[in-house]
Amino acid sequence: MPDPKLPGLQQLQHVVVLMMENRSFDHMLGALKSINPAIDGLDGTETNPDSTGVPVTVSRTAEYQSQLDPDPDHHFPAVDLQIFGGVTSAQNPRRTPNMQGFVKSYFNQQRSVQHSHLIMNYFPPEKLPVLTTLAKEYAVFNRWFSSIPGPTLCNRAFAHYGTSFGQVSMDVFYWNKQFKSIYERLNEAGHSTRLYYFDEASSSLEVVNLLKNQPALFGTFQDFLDACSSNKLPEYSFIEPNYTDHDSPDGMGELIASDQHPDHDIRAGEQFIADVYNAIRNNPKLWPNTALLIVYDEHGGIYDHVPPPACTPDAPFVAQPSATGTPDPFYFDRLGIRVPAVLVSPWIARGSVINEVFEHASIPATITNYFLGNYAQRSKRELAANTFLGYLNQSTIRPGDQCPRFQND
Amino acid sequence: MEVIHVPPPSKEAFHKGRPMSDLIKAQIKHFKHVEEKLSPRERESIPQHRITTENEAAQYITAMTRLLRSDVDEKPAKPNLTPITVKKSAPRAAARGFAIAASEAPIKPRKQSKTKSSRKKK
Repeated sequence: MPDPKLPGLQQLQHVVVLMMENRSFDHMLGALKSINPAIDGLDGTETNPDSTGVPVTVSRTAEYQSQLDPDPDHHFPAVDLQIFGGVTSAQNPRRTPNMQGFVKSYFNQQRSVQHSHLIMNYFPPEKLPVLTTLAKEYAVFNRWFSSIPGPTLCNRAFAHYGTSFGQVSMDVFYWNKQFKSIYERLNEAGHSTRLYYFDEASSSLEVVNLLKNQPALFGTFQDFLDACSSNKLPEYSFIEPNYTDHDSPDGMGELIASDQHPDHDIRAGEQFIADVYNAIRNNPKLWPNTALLIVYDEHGGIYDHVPPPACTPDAPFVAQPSATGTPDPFYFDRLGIRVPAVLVSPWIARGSVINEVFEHASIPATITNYFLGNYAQRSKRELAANTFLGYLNQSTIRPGDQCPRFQND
Repeated sequence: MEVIHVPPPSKEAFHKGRPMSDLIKAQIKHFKHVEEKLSPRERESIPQHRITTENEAAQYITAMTRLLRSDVDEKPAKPNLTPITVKKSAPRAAARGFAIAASEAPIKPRKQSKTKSSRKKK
């Protein structure tokens, strides 16, 4: 538990989480190592063998769009290959993660050796002015891992429930729901909370349980902006980006996807992150008492060099081989691949680098601990997860002219 | 500290005819799971068009979201303002994908007030 006497926590009233889509830490933030060696990014020599055995070196040549089509595989068997380099547990029961299977995995989709090399590309910081500026100016997590070495929906479930209820795929239907979502917990205790999806046409990925059963929990991104400007922001907000290019439901325009899921244009996501940040940053009644976490749900099949660590098993849940698509069951005892995560607050020292291990169960763990205190009915993984508000640890608030501002062109 | 300018996506980036990703297919699958539990009368308002592209998915998702939130939204939803807009892109070849339903039933847009100019088609 963080020290509640910290001035930043004494003032804290709101926490906002923005969860983006499918990019790895090294892909987005790996280049920052050349600026701040404390950031565990890339030194430019990391390699992966391609399908012919030739080492492919990481490259600062990631493009905003067009390189990651088809969408790199990030279902459980593919991520297993990416992490273990193609060594199966049958070949070596004591295999260890070596992060050597990304190029092989991408090759499997198109059988193109040349195209498979693109999975090693990463962005120079100047191409991502919003995310890299926030990472440099506030706190960047060196060890925030996705919760499962698998796809989006089971990973997002950890952000909502602290568990995926034993599921490792996109089929998260909550037939074995033992733990309440963070939103239900807060509502029952009289706290305010909202999930903000972008618009009706993009909607939420939390369909089968929350949107179906508790539609009043939701709002649009415009509702979020209105809540910020009218000083009616809930205590806890979770924001979903726009997942598709689509005609506006009101027939008045066209809206581009802002989730940064391959192969959507990264710049739209950068502007969306700036919109969220600006809505808080530019309101003097919100800025001193709001913490913003920007985090990605999973790595999207894109290269990262840090092996995911073992973790507390999420007992009693076990995914059988029929679900994992591999010869082995999965006990939820290993985290997924590392993702970008940045914590923003004027109570954070410039250039903070956090080395503790985090995962998405850290989100409900943090919100529950801060707003509700002791709460027993939580998953094993959530109970073991680190919380992040203790990093609002400065004794004085940073002056406004030391906090960046963004303008979308 | 100087204001940092954030570049917009290119005009060519917008492609509403892009085939759905696995993520959107899963989202549609979940909405279909919910739709199956609706009453026949409720289902009448849900379009049953072929869904292969992002925009086709968005049309179906709009209808389902409105229905699920109809008890919450007593007034029409506010327009969703955002500066992230692009001009219409040149038509591209129709995307190939799996068909969730075969008939054509375009969704009727909900009446809403006019939005800021940043949202209008340019």
